[in-house]
Amino acid sequence: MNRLSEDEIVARLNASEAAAERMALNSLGLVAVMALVFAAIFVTGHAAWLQNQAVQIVIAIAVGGAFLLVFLRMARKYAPPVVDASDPAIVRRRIDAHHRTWRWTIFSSLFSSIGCVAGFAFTSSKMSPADRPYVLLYAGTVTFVILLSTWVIAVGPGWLNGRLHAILNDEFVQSLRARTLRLGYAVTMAAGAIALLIGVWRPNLAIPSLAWALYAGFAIPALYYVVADWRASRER
Amino acid sequence: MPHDNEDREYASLSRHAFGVLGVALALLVIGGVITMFHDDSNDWRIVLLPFSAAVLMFYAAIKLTELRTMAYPRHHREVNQRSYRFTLLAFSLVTCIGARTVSQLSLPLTSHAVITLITPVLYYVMTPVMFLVGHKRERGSELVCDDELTQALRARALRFGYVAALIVLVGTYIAAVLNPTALLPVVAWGLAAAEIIPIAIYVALDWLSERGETL
Repeated sequence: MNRLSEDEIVARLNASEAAAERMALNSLGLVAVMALVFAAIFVTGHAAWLQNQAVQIVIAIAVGGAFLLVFLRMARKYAPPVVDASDPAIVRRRIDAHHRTWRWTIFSSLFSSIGCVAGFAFTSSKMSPADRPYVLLYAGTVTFVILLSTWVIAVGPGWLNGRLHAILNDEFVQSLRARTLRLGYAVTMAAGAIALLIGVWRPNLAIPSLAWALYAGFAIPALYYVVADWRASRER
Repeated sequence: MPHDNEDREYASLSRHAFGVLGVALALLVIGGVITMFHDDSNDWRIVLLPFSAAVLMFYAAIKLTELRTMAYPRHHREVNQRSYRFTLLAFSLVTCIGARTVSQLSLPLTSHAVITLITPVLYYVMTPVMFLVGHKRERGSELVCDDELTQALRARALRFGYVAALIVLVGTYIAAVLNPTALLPVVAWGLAAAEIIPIAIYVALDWLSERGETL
């Protein structure tokens, strides 16, 4: 196997980090654009458009496609070299670069899932029993995105790459992940209990509030992990 | 051996206290199961079993206090971890009974039903918090039951339990989407399951670690 030179490794790490950073910023931009478009529709008094099922489907496909494009663009450039523990001169730098990339990845998942949950929470309260296929499609999408994001936190840096995961999953990461999961579990239960109370108070808000409870159960610990890891990286 | 008498005395009282506690929990479980499958509010067992369980729990609490007072330092962790496991199980059981009560309510709720709803909702939050914070501080300022082993076991239980809780809630969400009229039972049991799964994993891990085994 050809060993990469130090400069090549740094260049690839920088490229991966830049790709993850762009994905996070693009996701944030997409959420901002969505918020602006929805605000414009409401301010100009065209909220009735959103009741149209065809418009809802077009918006869902456009937003989902945009997020998919952002992800695929990142995935093409995201190819960090596995950390080589036999090279102590550079190993800390490379592990830190992987952590930064991982933080950007989690950060972007916060935005990609908020778009999904917001879209569903908005449309589901206005749907009738006749719209069940669409409700199921939305529910399936929300479920997939939330579970995928949850899995990212529970497994930790490296995720699907077993070799990378074994190297990055040191005692510090395990401790941070344990604290994150503690918070995540407490938030999930509290948000679920609040969703139950909201559902009792206003039954038509039950399903959107459950979707937001699931989002809170993932997003708050994810944000905690990103901030705590970032603060720790400044001390390393 | 220098500690033989102390150990025998401790073991005897420990068997007594935790045995009574176990019987009380078993009575609660039996009462719960009977209530679930035999829904007759005039059935004497529905009142007698929980009442007997409460009396036994009160007696067990007195014996546990006695056990804590006489327990030697080397027994502190064991006494506290055992009572912690029993407390978590008892709280989970109460949550199940609460979920059963909530699932029988119908919307819109009356003011009486709202009061009934508050207790299970408190348990949905209180029990996980008790599980996450660990046991109370024992004599002095030393943490007896939040040592490295407990923290490691809790982290291990949560690694699966958190994902399991999210999966259960996602299932609850899809079930509520498919059948909005069954919202209360679905969410009540979903939350109860999300609470019990991580706690059950922790209790099993802690019990096995006491016996020197692992999953």
